[in-house]
Amino acid sequence: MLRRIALVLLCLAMLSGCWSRRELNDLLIVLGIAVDWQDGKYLVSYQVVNPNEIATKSNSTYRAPGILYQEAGNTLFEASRALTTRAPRLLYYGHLQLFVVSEEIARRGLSGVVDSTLRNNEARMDYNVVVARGVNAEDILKLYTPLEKLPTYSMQQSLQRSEKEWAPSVAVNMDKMLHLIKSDGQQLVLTGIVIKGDRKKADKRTNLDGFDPAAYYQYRGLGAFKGDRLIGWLNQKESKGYSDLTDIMGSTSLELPCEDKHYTGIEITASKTKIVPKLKDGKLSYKIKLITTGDVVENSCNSVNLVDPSVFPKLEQKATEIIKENAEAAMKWAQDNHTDIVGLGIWTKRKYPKHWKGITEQWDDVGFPAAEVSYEVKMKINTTGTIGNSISPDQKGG
Amino acid sequence: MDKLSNGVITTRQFRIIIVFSLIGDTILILPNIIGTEAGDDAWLSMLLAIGAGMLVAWLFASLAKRQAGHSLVGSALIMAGKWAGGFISFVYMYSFFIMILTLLVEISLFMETQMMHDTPPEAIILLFVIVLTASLRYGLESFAKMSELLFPIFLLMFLFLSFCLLPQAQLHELLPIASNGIMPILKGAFPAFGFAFMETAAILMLVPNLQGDAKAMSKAIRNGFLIGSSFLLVVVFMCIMVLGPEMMSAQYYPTFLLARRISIGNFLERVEALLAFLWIVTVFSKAALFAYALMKGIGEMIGLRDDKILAMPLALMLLAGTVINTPNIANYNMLLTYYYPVYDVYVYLSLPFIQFLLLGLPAVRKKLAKSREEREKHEPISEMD
Repeated sequence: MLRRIALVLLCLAMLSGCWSRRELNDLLIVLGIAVDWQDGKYLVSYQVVNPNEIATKSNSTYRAPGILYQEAGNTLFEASRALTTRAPRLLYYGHLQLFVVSEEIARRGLSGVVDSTLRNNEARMDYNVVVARGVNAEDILKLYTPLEKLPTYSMQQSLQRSEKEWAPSVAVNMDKMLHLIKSDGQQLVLTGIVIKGDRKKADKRTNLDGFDPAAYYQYRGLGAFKGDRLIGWLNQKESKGYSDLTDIMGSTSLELPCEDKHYTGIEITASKTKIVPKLKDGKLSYKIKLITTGDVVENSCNSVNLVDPSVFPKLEQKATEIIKENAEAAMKWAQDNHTDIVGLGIWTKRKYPKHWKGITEQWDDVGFPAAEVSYEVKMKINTTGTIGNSISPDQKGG
Repeated sequence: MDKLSNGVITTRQFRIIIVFSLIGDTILILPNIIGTEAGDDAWLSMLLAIGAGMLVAWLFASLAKRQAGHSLVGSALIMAGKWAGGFISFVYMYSFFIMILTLLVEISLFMETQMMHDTPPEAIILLFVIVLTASLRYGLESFAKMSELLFPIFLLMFLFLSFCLLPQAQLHELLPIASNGIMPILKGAFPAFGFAFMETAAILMLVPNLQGDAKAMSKAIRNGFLIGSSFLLVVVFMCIMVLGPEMMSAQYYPTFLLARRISIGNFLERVEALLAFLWIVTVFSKAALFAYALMKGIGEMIGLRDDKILAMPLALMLLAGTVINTPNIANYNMLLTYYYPVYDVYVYLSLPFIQFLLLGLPAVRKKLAKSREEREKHEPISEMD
């Protein structure tokens, strides 16, 4: 009997809960982290959920959906713990969505900044990383966004959506970033984010008064890294070329010019990239095959007769030229700046592992800029939407 | 004599115990080590280790046959006498003890880094040891039945893990094949060979409890090795194809990261805590197997009628030993990568091999057979079917 009582007591004592349990009301759920470099210290901004505000059923109390806590520290951990002097709860990283670094930090090197979140067992590796361009990283998290109450969610969704449907941005999550920084053969690229409009109004609720928000965020340009340091920005054309070259492009828009500022709009529906390295007499050359299919989705050109089968090869020809131009622009930028963001190195490594070993060290500075690249672009246009020719009186058929 | 402690296990249970022991802690710690050494050729290392492992399976099966119904320790005692045999047995017992300590440290470090950061490791180890002790007290038979019961659940969860990750697997991560030559592959294969295959030597302690003839026993060992190693091969493949060699070598517990990666339709995710069941079960099984081997070995060495009285003292020694012996993780990883496999070769491969040769001598064979006859006269119950 005594044994039984002891057993029951032991169970009660030991099985009553987790040792390190943290209930929901002890947590500050971090959605976004922004890191700036200020006076030789990290200035870390945490955007945390204001649970009352995002609950759908509760009455809105006209408070912000999130709270921005900010603290400076020599390490990110110091900053996060210093927060307890003014926040009632402890940070929880399990739902982190967006990690914003300032341009200055990106130029100084990313490794130090991301290290603490990598070590943290709460943080998952699926949050996206972006670079604040032209603004402080903290400003990105102080923005009222329409539709989605939580700006970080809005930004994360927009980033992923635009990677898929628009092409000149890439949704790099921590996982992929680590992979690109650590492995040789391809350099890291992160998308830049800017705040447009009236920045003073951005963190006021009035930002959303009216149809047109006074301030809004926008992804613009890709920041190319060498190692873990940012070295420059690609423009939109180059960014598009980058997406195509690295085979992350899913869908995008192409505009084929015709006479007098009229365009034929093409939606790319599928795109496949293959890079074939060739080693001859110790010199590397690459054949890049871009195979694309698309549809005509818009046409304001009278000269383009969409019911005529012979028009299609012409359109396809024009499209391939643009695709090639984009790709060449991206490649030229990368070669001029000595950073292999395209990943020619990876293809080389796969095909010529022995040769690759000898040139790995000097690849970005010597091998890559000297690589000869030729293109083979194929484009197929399938459909023209639900109509043939447009409703312009000058065109017939359809 | 207590029937349970000398319990009878079927060849099927034996096979499952082997499978669990083979997967054991290997599933948790090996991907990191093998990935660091061999990079994207880790799967080649694993294949190589499996090849060598099947030779070990053959050795263990033949040794088990030559033990003629005695345990590893028992046959050594009969073969070499009280003193020399006692010394051999002591080496086995010591390494079994260290093995359990290692497993306990591993599970506590894992729980601490990945799941319960603020919980003191002592608490985790204590809970683990309590379950271990209970399992020792209940006896081999209940442990074997528990393994049999857990295996289908394990299988189901393993398949769940593999299938959910299939969409994320990228074949090209396996390329290029053997780009850095054969050395890194060998370096990766060695710890894999040690952790998974050699350490399974503890199963030889269960030979006297085994039901069925020698042929069925060899078959169980061979099949157990085959099944267990195919699980490990799948894990290594998944780690390379889903995580890539960089993540594999950067993260201490790549398999846990694999479970974290599961994300299907944005709703089937964050299941890693559930899947942690996989390695907790296998690590526990391996620890329990070694604990039995240890308890039984000591019992035979000092001639105890009932070795269960050893359960509590052993548990306390393990508890204290683990708490004292937990090094920092860098130290620990270096031990695991560079020193433990070598140690494995001495204790779990060379020693059993020598014993295998000696047991083949006609004089020793006679002794073994005689001692077995005597034992059967005293306790005819142990061969009950």
